[in-house]
This record gives sequence, C-alpha cells and structure tokens, in this order.
Amino acid sequence: MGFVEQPAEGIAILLWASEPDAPHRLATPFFHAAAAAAMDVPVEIYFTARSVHLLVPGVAEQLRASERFDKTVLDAMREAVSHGARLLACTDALHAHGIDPQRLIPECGGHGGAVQFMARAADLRWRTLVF
Amino acid sequence: MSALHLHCPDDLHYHVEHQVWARLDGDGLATVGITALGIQLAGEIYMCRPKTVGSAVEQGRSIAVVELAKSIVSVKSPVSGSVVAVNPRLAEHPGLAHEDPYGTGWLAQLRLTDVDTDLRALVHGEAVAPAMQHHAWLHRVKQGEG
Repeated sequence: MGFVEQPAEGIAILLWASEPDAPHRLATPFFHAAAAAAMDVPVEIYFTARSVHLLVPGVAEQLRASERFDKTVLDAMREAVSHGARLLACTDALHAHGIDPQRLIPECGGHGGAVQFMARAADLRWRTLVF
Repeated sequence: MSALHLHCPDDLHYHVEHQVWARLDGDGLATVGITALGIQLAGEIYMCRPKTVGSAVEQGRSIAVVELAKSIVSVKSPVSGSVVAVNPRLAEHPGLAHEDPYGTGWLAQLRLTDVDTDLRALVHGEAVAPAMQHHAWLHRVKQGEG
C-alpha cells in the first residue's frame, strides 16, 4: 500500500537524448523522477551519451528549461535527489566525452551503465523510462 | 508576497514545521490536511494525491504528494495511523486545498495508532499563533526577504 495499489519495485530512467544543447527537454525527466520518488518509489536515473555533461560542475546550474522558470536544471536535479532519486553516471559515456569520473557534482550517487540499466529493464518488478 | 494567512482554527493540532493539521474526530480517528499558511507558501497546487486507503503512515513521513508549478512536494503526516479515507474531491478539484484548507480541502482520515505520542510533537491552542508567525518569519529569512 502507498500511493498506488500495486507499486513497482522501482523506476529506472535512462537519459539519452537529454543533453545540455536542448535545455527545454531537461526539466521533464527530473520532474517525473521527483514525483515518483516522492511517492516512495525507488528511482534511479542513468546518465548516458551527452547527458553526462549535466553531471559536470557548473553545467546544469547554467541551464533553464524555460525562460519562465526561475529554477535551473541543477535545481530540478537536486529536487529529484531530495526526494530520494539516485543519479548514476555511465562510465563509458564519461570516458567518451573526456569527463573525469572523480570530478562530478556531489549529487551524483555513483556509476551505472548498460548492464545495470538493462538488468532493471529485464526485471518485471521495475519500470523503465527513456528521455 | 501578499499578507500571510496565519489564522488557524482553535480545535486543530498543528505540526508547524511541516505545516499540516490534524482534527481529532473521536473513536480513534483523525482528519488531516495542509495549513493555509503552508498552502500559501507553496503556491498554486496542480494536483494532490494522498496515499491509498489501508496505507500505514507515520508521523513526519509522507502522506501525500503535491504537484506545484514545476515542483514536487511531499506532504508529511501530523499523526501516525492507517488511512481509512481520502478526500475524493481533491483529484478533480485540487484547488479545494487553497479555497478551504480546513474544511473541504482535507487530505485524508486516519485511524490513529499512538495519538498520545503524536500530540507531543503538535501545537495546540494559544501556542499556535506565535509558532505560525515564527515559521512565516523563518520562511522569509530563507527566501532572503528577512
């Protein structure tokens, strides 16, 4: 019991097309992650492809999904984390984009890549979303 | 920000930090909701979803999720217990929480499990007004207006 009759074990969110060059798409995944986490569902957000740039200090805090929003993308990420969502960086994507895995924003909760995400996708108790 | 809604009905018990209230209904039941001040500080509510009937809830833990303008807020319960009813009108009319926070905007009704312990963390009677004023002041300071 909780917010739904039969809750999923968790929700895994893959960020693939969400990237700094398209900030208008960057509030939605974190807003949905915050909603799910606030409903007591474990949430994991996997940063892949160019989305890993959002984990570099100074990047997300310069981005807004809309000129009408006061909040930055980093604010949206922090809100999701505050509700319990975990931010996981794909090691391969970090390497591909020349990002030092040791120098990510403190909200990043660790590393997680294709195997971990697909393990969630293969688990019928979990739900997956791709942004 | 416009003048803050600091009035609180005398018969309720308040968790000031979380800006929620509980009305002891008798027979071990309590109705809970969000304070007018809490609603005002949060802003417009787009959706409010309480936990389902049968859910166990602990004081200070989530009893509802509220969707605001690009923000998600977890509403903490003022009391511990089991949800026995949720406000059926909130799903279609979340604005009720704004319009009538102590009446038709209630969130849920709980069967209490340890009301004596719960009451130690709640404010009642003459202590409510200064506690709400202090909370509003803290909020202004946090927002950089103090």
